[in-house]
Amino acid sequence: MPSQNSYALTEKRLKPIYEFLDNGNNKKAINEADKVIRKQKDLVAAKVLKVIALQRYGRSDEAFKLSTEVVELKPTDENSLQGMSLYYKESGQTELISPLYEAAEKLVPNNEELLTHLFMSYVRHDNFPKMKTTAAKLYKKYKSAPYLYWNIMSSVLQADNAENEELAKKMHLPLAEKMIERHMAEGNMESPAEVKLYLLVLRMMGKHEKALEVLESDIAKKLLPPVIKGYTPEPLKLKMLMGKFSQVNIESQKLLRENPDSWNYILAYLDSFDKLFADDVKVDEETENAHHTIEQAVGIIEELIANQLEDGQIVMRGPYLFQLEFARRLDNVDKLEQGFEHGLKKVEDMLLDYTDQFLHKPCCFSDIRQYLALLKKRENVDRFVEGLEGLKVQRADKKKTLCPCHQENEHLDQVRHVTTELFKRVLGFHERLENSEKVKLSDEFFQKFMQSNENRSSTEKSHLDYNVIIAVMLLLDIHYESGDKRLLLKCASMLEACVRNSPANSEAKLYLVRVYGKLGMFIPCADLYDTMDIKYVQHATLGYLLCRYMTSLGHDNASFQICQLAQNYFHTQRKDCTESLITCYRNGSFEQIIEFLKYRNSMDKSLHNYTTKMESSFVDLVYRWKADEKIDQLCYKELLNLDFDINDLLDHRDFDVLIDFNPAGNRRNDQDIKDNFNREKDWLKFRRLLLASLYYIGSNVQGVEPSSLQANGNNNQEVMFDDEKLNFAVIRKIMTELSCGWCDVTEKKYQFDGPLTTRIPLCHEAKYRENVHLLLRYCLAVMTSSCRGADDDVMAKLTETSSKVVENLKAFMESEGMNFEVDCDGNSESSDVPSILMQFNSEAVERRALLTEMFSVTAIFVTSMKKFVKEMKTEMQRRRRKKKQISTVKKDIVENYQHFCNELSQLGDEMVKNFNKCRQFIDDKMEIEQVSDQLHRQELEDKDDGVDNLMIWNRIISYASASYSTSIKQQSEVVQLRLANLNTSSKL
Amino acid sequence: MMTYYRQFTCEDMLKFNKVNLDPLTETYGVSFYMQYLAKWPEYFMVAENPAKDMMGYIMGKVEGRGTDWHGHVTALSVACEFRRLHLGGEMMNRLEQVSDDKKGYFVDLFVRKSNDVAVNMYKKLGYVIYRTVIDYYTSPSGGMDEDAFDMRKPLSRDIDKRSIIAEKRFITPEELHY
Repeated sequence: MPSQNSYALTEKRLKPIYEFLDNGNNKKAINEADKVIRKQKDLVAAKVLKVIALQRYGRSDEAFKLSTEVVELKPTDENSLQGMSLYYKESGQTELISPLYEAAEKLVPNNEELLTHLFMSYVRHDNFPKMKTTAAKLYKKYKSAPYLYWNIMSSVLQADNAENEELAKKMHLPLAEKMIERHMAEGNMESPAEVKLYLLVLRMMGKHEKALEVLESDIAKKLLPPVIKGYTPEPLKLKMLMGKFSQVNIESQKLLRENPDSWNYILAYLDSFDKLFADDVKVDEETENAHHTIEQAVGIIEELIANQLEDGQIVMRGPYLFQLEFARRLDNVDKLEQGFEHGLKKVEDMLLDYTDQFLHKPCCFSDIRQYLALLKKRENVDRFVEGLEGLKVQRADKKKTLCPCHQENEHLDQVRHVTTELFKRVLGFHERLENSEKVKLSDEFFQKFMQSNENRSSTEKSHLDYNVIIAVMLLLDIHYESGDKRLLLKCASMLEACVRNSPANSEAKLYLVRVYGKLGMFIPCADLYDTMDIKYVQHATLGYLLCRYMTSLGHDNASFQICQLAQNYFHTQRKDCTESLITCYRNGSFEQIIEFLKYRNSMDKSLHNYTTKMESSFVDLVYRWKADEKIDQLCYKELLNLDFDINDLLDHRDFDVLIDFNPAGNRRNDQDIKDNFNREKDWLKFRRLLLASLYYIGSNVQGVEPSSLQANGNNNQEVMFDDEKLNFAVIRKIMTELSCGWCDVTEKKYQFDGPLTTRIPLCHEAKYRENVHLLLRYCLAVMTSSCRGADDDVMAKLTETSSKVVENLKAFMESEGMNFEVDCDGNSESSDVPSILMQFNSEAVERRALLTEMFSVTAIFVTSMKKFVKEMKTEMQRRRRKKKQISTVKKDIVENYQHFCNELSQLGDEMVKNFNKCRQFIDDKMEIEQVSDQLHRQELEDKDDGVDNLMIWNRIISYASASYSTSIKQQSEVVQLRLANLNTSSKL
Repeated sequence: MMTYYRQFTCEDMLKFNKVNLDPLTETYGVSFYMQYLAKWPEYFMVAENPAKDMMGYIMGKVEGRGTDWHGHVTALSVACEFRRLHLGGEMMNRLEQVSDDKKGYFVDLFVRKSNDVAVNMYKKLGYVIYRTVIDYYTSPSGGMDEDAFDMRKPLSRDIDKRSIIAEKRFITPEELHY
């Protein structure tokens, strides 16, 4: 054992290293560690600190090398082990923590601390069996209850993750149950966590009756905290699972009478009632007081409503929504008519009962929208709307509501008015209007918004902002049918006005993102995202909106950054999730362990996780890769795993963040989301094939010299050919998958607030997939000819594929919609949309970006073949020098290759010329706009909101110009980069 | 308050956009929520309306020693359309109940001095301004820092309401123990 003095000396020596590390001065930490190691060669702790410093300083190879030395020394002291764990965590090698502690534990077998760390290291990697044995060891030695529960929890996790359900039921769970019961029988159950884990095990086993007994036992009463007010009591949940519906019903009646505004109790009542009603239970002593007839249910609803209508009572939403939910459930089983016969009010009257009290509350729409479907006939709808129209002019409330409103009556009337219009929209009133009427109504609502003199808060959106949303939705209805871009621009200006007045309105911002995306403008989308401060988990739920537009609109720099940000989040959250699991074990939060694991696994399979990983690799490779860079450092290796089933991905996109105000039939629905998700996965499958193609073709060039493939270097012999080295098998596999085609090339036009159409239809039109297949055929033919000798039919193959590729690219380049400049018709000048915005063809932005991407992909494939073609040319020259016969086929291949490069170069030159023309066009238009802006400004200064309006349009114009210019600039750079590659390649 | 109350779960992070896309509601890293769920699950509650839209949530913790043992409100947020329905108050009530069950002496929270709506709501719920924490909220954009009110409400265990008597009316963030 080291003496006290030597321990103090070591600490003194290590202290400066710790300090340098803490201050982030890693270089000095390394130097200091070296000094200490020189003085005290066997001081493992110093080496460990050096490992950390090296890793943090970016010298990860050296760090890893030194770490292996440390491991061989088998450290057992806490400092070294903790330090090494930290290094492994920071370098993402947590799988190496377990072996480190396993070795230490062997040397120091009776150390509680070591075993605990060992247990946690297994937790990090879901190694349930080893967790179990380690926990058992800990409990055996130290008899501390938490260790027993770690052991039990390991069994629970084995059961929860068992592929064989029988094994879970018959082995792991019964074992867990037995262990807890033994512990309880011995009188050792002492904490709420233990009771909760017992209940969890029983619930997983379906032993509800036993769970209820536990809940009602003295020990549970002593240890468990009281039920939180308003939560559904656990015994009630269990009784429901046990089929004790009468009991649940009777108890929930009591709870409801005490608290008629609790949705938990209303659901408990209705869930049990549904069962009793469906089963037509026989009335006996036990069920006597349980409700099983419509009259009884109507009775309690009426009683609750009547109670609160008594003078002086606060009017609550609960009883009214109870009534509507009851009607909805009857309707679900086709018994609504029966309900009416037995005293239930007409649906419109029930709805009006609610709106009578709460139409002035912003929650009104969300509360009852799901019950509007109960208005089956037109006459019901009309009666409801007539009722609303009557209510909205009603002034201050007759009764005191739960939360008395102190705002002006005028404001309340405006709120009622806007909510009524939302109801009318959702009930199909807007649908029935002519386009001209829609435009008129839209103007009317926008004017209402502009004229409203409400003092808007900078931190809270106003319900009156829905005036703008209504105005926008009406125009979007027409746009959906006509595709008129002018309407989208008008929507953008109205929403900009809304955001300007009500900066906290994220709904308006989300609409704007969609509008700008459709207008091909990416910069405002990204700006709006920034203002909403979307981050962390919101990447997974809201990132899809940006993701759809960034690369497709040609903003590859932004795309790369956005994807990296999302990837940082997914990476960090995985680590955090694992560390949180450890906290759960330390705190006995066993239920959360199952929840966290489920969450982590679901995030691993998140669509957005995979998409951003794919997109960042893709952008790096297709848009940034320079021919002299190593291709294999550019992509995430897991993306190349063609066996990973993309169908396993999960959809976390949040569409509900925008309330759907569309009438039935036109609503965003689950089927559309599912269909779109399937297409997104199909798109990712193509993206993966493309990435893998580029990778395998590209890495052939970098990793394998064609000459190195020759068997023994004897030039006179036939060149040997190694399929494996050239990745031929995988390339052929990719080709087979590519030839299967898209699952579906058409895509439904979704609602504006629904999913976003994938890039598949445009890629199909551009024959992208076909071109990749052709290019792979071309590359295979070149590589085979170079390494194995040319087949007779190779020229036919090469000519066919190369000319078809060029033909497809040209056809897409000359396709309709590719022109960026639009000849504006005469009407534009008189329209309320600035003509400059109509002169840019926003659809061309995505088409051009796709053309650029396809060009770049083609150039990479072709450039990658240079070495093989050059090898053939060199061989020809060699043979010519030696006056040997030259293969005419190889000569033709070389010529064809040069011709292919030249054709692509010409195409690229044309693209660059076109980009320049576009940029000039934008610059010219912007210059004219600035002059006319000055003139307009003077005219508009006399009008009320004229300058405001002008400023909004100027903002949109500058967004358009900045977005389109950036896109064109970045595309132009990519094409020029690839042109340079092609020029080098053609010079063999 | 017409609401479905239950414990917050990880999955709720995928559904809280309508609540969190609010300028005064901060979205934290996943580990922040998970640490609260792992340590104080009963202090993390969510409220849903009948259509299962998230109306709001409250997260908190219990901490301190001796007579400082108390519940703390870390975040309370209600989606815009469900404001002014007393939902915040109801959720606070529940958090106070949990703190009472845990034998806490008081519940405390920090609120921006400028957030009058929230300060008044807490006052109505029985909270008093215990002290002011100077420059508690740092501005991420380099603007002016903002003071926080440290508000407290004594629980049933604090019979003499000693927990709301402050030694100093103004303190710096460094002087905070929790």
